Amino acid sequence: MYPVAFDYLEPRTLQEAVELLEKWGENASILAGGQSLIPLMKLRIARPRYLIDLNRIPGLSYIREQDGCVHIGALTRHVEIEESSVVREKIPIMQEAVRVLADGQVRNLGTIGGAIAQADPAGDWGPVILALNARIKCLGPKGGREMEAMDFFTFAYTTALQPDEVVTEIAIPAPSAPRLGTYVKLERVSGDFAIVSVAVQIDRDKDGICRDIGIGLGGADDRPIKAVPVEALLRGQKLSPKAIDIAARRIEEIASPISDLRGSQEYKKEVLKVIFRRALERVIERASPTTGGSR
Amino acid sequence: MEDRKTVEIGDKVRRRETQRFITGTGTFVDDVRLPGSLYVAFVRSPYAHARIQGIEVQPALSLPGVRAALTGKDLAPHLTSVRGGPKPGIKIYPLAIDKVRHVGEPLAAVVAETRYQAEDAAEAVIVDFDPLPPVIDPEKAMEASSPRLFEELDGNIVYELHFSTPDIDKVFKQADHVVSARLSSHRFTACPIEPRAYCAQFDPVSGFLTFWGTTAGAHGLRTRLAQMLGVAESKVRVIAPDIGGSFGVKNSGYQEEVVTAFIALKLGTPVKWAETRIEHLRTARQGRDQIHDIQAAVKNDGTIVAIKDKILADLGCSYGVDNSITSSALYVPGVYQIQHYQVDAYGIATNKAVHGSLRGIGKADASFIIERMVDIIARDLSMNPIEIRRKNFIPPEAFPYRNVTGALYDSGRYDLCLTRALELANYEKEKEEKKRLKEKGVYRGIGAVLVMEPTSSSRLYTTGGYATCRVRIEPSGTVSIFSSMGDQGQGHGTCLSQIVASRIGFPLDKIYEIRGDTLVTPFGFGTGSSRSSIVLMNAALVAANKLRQRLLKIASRNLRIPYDRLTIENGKILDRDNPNKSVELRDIVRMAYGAIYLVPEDEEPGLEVTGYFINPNIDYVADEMGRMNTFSAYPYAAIVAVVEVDIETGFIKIVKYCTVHDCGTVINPQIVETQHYGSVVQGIGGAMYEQILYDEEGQLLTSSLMDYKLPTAEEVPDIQLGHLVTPSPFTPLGAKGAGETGMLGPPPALASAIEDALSDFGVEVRSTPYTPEKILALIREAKKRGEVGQASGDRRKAPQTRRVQGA
Ligand SMILES: Cc1cc2nc3c(=O)[nH]c(=O)nc-3n(C[C@H](O)[C@H](O)[C@H](O)COP(=O)(O)OP(=O)(O)OC[C@H]3O[C@@H](n4cnc5c(N)ncnc54)[C@H](O)[C@@H]3O)c2cc1C
Repeated sequence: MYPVAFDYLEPRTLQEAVELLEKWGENASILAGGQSLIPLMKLRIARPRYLIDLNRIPGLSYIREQDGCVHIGALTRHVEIEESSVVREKIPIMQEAVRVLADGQVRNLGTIGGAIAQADPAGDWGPVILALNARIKCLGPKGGREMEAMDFFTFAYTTALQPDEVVTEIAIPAPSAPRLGTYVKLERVSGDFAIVSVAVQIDRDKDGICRDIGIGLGGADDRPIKAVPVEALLRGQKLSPKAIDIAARRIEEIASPISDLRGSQEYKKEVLKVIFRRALERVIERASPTTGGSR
Repeated sequence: MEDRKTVEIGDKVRRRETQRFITGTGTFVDDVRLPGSLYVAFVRSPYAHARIQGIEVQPALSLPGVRAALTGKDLAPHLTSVRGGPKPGIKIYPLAIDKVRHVGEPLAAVVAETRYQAEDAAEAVIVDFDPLPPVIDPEKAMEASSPRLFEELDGNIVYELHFSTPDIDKVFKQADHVVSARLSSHRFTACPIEPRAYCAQFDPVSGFLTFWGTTAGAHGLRTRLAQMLGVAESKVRVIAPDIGGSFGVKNSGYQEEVVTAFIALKLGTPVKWAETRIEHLRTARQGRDQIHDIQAAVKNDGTIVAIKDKILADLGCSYGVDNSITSSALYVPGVYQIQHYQVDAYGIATNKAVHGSLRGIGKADASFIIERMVDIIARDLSMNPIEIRRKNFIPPEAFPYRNVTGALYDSGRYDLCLTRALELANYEKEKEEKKRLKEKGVYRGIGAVLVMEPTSSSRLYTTGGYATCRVRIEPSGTVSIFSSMGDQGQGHGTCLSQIVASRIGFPLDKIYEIRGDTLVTPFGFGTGSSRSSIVLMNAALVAANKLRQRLLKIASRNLRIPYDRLTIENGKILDRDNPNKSVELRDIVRMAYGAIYLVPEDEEPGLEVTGYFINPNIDYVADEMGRMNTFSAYPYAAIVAVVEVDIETGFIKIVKYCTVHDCGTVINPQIVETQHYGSVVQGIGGAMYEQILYDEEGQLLTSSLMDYKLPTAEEVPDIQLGHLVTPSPFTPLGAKGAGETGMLGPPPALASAIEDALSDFGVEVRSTPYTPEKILALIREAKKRGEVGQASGDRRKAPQTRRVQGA
């Protein structure tokens, strides 16, 4: 619970942060909310020689809507997402997710940029931004670039970021039917990482045909995954119990969870199927005219 | 002070300790900051079982700030005695010398100027290990071919207990039914909010060693330190300041205690060691972890005639054998009138952390096993589990009741307690609700059990015996209670003050409790086994009564009124027959110290008295049949739990948890209630979430709170609590202890409720914990059994774990 010695660096601009990263490379770590990094350092699993603190850089924390997208600065705290009226209105699924992400103390400090850079296969933001087809913006010595969320997560705790790149923003296309999304998470005790989790966001026409669907899965593989084949399966379909059933079985097939203390691979597959079905049912319920229309 | 009304035993006096703790102004061991203090860190084994070929401390010594490094070999010549191994003659050193026997066992210590430097230094020590095959599975450990933890022994069985009433086999042969099952409890730990910490200071001039430690037994620790280090016990002072919970884990001796003290002696500089949570999960005492192969001989009408049990207790690497085995082996008959009993218990050494006290040690296993067994019997005989309990309960008129193993139960009204719990839970309504919900596809179940928990143990040469309180009214009118026992958050100070106040009529805010400092408190044994409310509280009552008598005698002489006509009221001693004749308590105090000629000649001077209380009814030696009573009181609780099981995910929701408990006289309802709530929650944690898990290599898989899951506030169900008061006839107060019964309830109560919820499938819950994955697996298994049963035309779900004869 006592980290090895490190130097603490406090850049004032993003440019400076990137320069420091370029200079110290693998020996340096970015510090955002510190809710994953600090525990790892205390366990001496992470042993950075240099800690580059982003917290003194202005303008990295924001939530704003522009061009049909909600832009969230990398340093935006989980709690700010929880309390944002833009998020509540445009992407309520994020609010549903953040309420089951860790606990109040962690949410006060942890950031969305840090969470996705941490790329925990059982983290909550991964499945959500995959379901929403978010883009990740980052900055490196050669300038900025953008990635699809799908291309961002490459392995457990590993992303497509270069060692000298910083995540600057998560840009999320606002779903056309904001209410038709949900996040379902199974956790051992409250505040824990997911055993498995499912994020779904749909859009459907007035006949109940699924126009579009985004599905993100947590705890389902060595990284958060987007259930692309199942999305394709359901797109253009009526979400009948039978269709859902077939899709749920498909989910079980494409999942390849890691066995760990949260559950064996078999268990995770089985319950993933269950919560996927429940997520879809919940969304359909929300869409049904008796419970308040499709939008 | 005089106009204030004082308190009575049983009043809801506000816990006086709370404010300090919730405002963060307590003083815990790690808050003790001594000038010039150095910090200790330990080098620990990464292997479960390995020979130590060599330890190189030089790389550590060359780091900045590092002042010393020592190994077991450096330490051994300076120890006049060492802690006992599993059997006499096996020497165990506080730093492992030849061999390590569990992950986390300390083998070297480094001392540095800062904690950070100490941690760096510990990491720099190079140890050459020769790994040995680990012994993990207790059943395999019993086999002759198993590797041995202690080469000096001819196996890994380090303790055995055998008890039997005569002709037990005959009883079983004549039984209408024999029901058998394999039941087991898993290993978990207490996880107090404050891990362990020790701080030591040696004054070379006076030769005095002062030691601050997270211990539930300051006096015992003092004796250990003096004996091991060869210093005069009179020159050792142990202080246990505020302690952030123990639940048993701080009752035992630990290697780090003596090493920290030794370093302070050797360097002449104060030193401190404060445990990290990871060290705690690796090395603090762990509990439960027993396998029972149990059989019951039952009559057609549900009378349980006899029990046979075989216990395998996984004791971990067993530095000495704790009391878990005797406590569970002797109490399996529980609250039932079982006349024939046989038990064969084996304590087995494995390469895991040392087994020890955990709230309800041994007794929790016993109550889980017997309560589970009664449910299994009920099911096999197609009887109502509540009725079968009522049928077998020891009836109220049988108390004091000598059970089959010689235990002497003080008092109890089990049937009534269960009835009250059923009422509290609205049992009949719940049953209907269950049926109603079933139609909607909700699997709800109700479980009802009764757990009994022996308290205030005392055994030959192990902790117990008695407690002492010295009470002094100070010249200025405050009252000091010097307690022989410490406090780890229970709030003993509140209860002690309340008891003393009720007898001498002083207001509560003038009464102070002094504890946890061996220099000023009377000698005594540690907190544990819920003994405070039996021996300590009664010692305070004895002292307070003496003090009251002394006050009255002084007043009697001065008022010239016979002593037995006097009473204490509103700060005065007055004549009951003529309340106008009175003297202020304040004046009596002044006389006692200042005008001692006014004190009756036959009274001792001053206002300081000592009260003792000895554990009642303890047998220190067994009779020729092996029977003995090792506990003084027998509180119990009935529980009705309602759960819902999500049959697709295995998740369990506790809808409500209703419990009626009987801890005898309630000294302070608030303290009893909060103890109970905490205890129940800890029991739920142990039944559902908390697990110490080792892999086949003996690596600890749950070494941080990320993996060792404690329940959070969100997991705490609706707990409803009812009191039943059946005082113990063997103590003046009649209190029986309230710390542990709560924890015993959840494992059997939740198992019952889960089985009830899943009765359609015939699910059998045979082991803790009730994790969702396990529940789902049980459902699957049961369904399969059901299919097999149906296919073969056998209506009874193929019994895997039991054998049913007759009928
Ligand atoms: C008790 C506890 C429970 C938790 N439970 C959950 C949970 O249920 N669900 C969940 O999703 N998460 C959970 N978390 C993790 C939490 O969400 C963290 O906040 C998050 O994983 C990391 O975010 P951070 O801002 O704290 O990042 P940090 O800890 O500061 O950094 C994490 C990693 O990301 C890198 N990094 C940070 N910011 C950037 C950036 N802008 N660009 C590039 N790299 C960057 C760092 O170098 C580091 O490697 C939990 C954490 C704790 C302590």
